[in-house]
Amino acid sequence: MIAGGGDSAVDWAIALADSAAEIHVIHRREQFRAAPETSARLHELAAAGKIQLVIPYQLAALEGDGERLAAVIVKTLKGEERRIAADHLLAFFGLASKLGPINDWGLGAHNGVIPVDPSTGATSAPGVFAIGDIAGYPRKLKLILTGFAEAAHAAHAAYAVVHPDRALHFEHSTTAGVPIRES
Amino acid sequence: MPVIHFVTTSGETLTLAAENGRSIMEVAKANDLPMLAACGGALACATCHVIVDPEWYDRLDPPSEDEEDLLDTAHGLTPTSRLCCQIRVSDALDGIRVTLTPMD
Repeated sequence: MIAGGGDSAVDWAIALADSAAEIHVIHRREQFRAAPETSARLHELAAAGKIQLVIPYQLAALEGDGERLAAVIVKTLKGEERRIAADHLLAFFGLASKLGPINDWGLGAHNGVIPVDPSTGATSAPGVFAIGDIAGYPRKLKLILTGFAEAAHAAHAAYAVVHPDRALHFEHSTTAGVPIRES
Repeated sequence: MPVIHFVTTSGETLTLAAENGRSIMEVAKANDLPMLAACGGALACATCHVIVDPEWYDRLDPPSEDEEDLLDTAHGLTPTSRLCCQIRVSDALDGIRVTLTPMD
């Protein structure tokens, strides 16, 4: 059983179509937002009976003995329910940052974000730096560009922590090149 | 200024004044409500998923195909689910009620 309607869900359904005895793809609507070629392939495999499309359904509950999955209960938005026997469920949903144990590191994480000094990426804990989506400060722009810049800021700041006795001279990779490490 | 009623996952209702033109997500974040809104409103995730009060749902402009694509990735979808970064505050929405969804 594969849940989801994006590229990952459709790619896995197609990849497993030849090896799994049965594949069900559960999705909440007719349209798949996967690339057109992969969507077309999915519908070919469905027409050939290799993949069962369970549409428009969403996951509602799982049945099992506490160790192994036995069946997945799916429901439409109107409440119509089906029970489908399954050995495995692969769920492909969304993008969400989860801090997990980092929440307990005492870094003041709030709503999934750790406050940092934007000029260094320094958190409230000495020697711990945060960059990218996890790092927050006023007027942050959530851009990949910003993430790269934060990496450079944090690397410079961390260098001074790791090598307190060494001077770090500012360089551009375009003029100084990228150091090649002898292995 | 229009007001928005936010119902939290614990059932508490918070009523906030909102400037016209802002998105409901921006109002929620500016008031530090528990919402990830991970992509910042760029229509690249579904972490500002809210459930719009059925009385209000049909008064909104319908979701775009891009929003529908992202709603595919939201958990606990309902018939009146929306991404609130796509809902602009206006006088017509004065008093709208939305329920926040769990952050994880």
